[in-house]
Amino acid sequence: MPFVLFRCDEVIPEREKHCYVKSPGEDIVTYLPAANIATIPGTLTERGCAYCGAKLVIGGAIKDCIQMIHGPVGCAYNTWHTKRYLSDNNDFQLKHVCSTDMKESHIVFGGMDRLKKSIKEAFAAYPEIKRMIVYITCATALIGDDIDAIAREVEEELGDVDIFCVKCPGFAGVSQSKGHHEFNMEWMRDKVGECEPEIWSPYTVNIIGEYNIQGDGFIMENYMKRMGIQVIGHFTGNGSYDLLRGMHRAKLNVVICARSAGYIANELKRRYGIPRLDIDPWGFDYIAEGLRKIGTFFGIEDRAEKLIAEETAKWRPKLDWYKERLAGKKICIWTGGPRLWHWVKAFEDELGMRVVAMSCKFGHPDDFEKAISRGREGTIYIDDGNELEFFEVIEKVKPDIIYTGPRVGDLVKKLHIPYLDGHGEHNGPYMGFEGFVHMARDMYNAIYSKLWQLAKEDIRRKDNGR
Amino acid sequence: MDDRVEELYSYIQSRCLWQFFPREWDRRANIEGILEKAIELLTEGECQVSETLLDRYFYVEAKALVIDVKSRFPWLNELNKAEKRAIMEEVKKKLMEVMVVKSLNPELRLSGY
Repeated sequence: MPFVLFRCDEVIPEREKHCYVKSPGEDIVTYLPAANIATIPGTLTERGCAYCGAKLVIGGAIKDCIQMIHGPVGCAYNTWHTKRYLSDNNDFQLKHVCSTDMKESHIVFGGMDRLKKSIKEAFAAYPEIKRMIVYITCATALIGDDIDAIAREVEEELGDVDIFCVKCPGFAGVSQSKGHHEFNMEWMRDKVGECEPEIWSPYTVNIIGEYNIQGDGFIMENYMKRMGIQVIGHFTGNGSYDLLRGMHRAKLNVVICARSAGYIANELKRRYGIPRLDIDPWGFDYIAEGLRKIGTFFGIEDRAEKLIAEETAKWRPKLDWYKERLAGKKICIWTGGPRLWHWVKAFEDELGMRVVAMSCKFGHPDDFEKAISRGREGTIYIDDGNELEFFEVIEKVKPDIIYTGPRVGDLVKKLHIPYLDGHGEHNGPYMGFEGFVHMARDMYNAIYSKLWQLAKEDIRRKDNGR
Repeated sequence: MDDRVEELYSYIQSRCLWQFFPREWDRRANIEGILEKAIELLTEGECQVSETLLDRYFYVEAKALVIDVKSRFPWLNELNKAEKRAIMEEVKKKLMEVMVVKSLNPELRLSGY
């Protein structure tokens, strides 16, 4: 079966090339959904803006710098505090955000003076913080504010601060993906190579595309520590601004989210000859494979095997308990991009579940190449899916559970279908051995909750609607 | 032989992330570099690894692949060196065809990252 046109899309037939059902004998050179192109007018996209991709996903996770949003106050609020990325710096990055709070008069007369005043006020308010990221937004980009010039002026005046400027307004691309790209490339161009980190291990890595959602990164850092490996740049979960300026000193780039941060790994390979090792950290089989590869790279396979044996012994019985209860359940993965292909085989091979539909908001063609290669026949694959399409998918595949974001999640809850937060990872962390058990536990609790039956009851009726 | 090539190719396609790197030149380098080392490991039991970090990376992926396919496809262990090489060369050819030559991914041929 080639591309499919949902009933709701009959008035916007261009959507057909974004929706695909895999049939026997087909592969990625037969059909590949269109992706990373402009949203079609008429479809209710759930994409974010390019600025959001730079701030909320990448820069906002860095633990020891001030986040300064040069724009209307809503640009700060709407990219603040909604991502559960933790840090060991008392979660400074989650608690605080600054805005220049641009109003009409600043738009008319220019906002550069206001930016300079705001930067200095912020450094005064947080005297222990000497690093800052300034983001331009749609309004301030359109009026041509030169944030770089202001940043250099303040650096010169204060002497002990460093400011990184992200010039990626919301309109810069078709989705948040463009913001990931811009942040990666600008950090590489402006910051990597500026600091020389203290090296304490012969085994050094950067962990790239990992945002410490619910503590995922703490698990990865713990694994590296137990293997005697030094993490130089953690891009960007629990990441340190200055250590990220020293990423050029690592011997290996361990890449997790290839979509949001593959760019910087590619550039580090091109400029510094540091190889890029992509791993899947979800699922026992995959994380073990990733750790073995890292161990082989440094000639410390024995340390990897020891860690794998310890973790497996601790967590395998728990996973097996959940596997018995999750086998055969149908699941949809409707997330941002890479979690489709990261999760599908882990759910199917290690938990016996069936992934019946996958949709991503900002994936590129290579995300679909991976998802379709790993996904089964009969599964529905959608780029930039919208709510009306999701209604039709639910009607067709009747899932037992859906991993998606809070917006679509609230929608499916009203249909009495269990939903888990695929971005914020509900009761995560989800990475590693421990994390995959948490994931299975969350799915078990959601699917077997009595709430779904109770929610169907109409308490206004004597028979409770049964 | 075709069935065995298909079996190995399908497994690699669903398992290995290195074939999906974002640009044509990365994919070519990975398919060439990793499968060359995998063929050496399969046929000779060892392979040459130079001092460069990139060569070491190819070795890491090749070693993981060889251990994995030898346990998942026991028939591979029963072949002689020439048969192993012939099958793996065909797998390489097919990967190059699907992942590079016939790929429908328009971003493969962008000039930068």
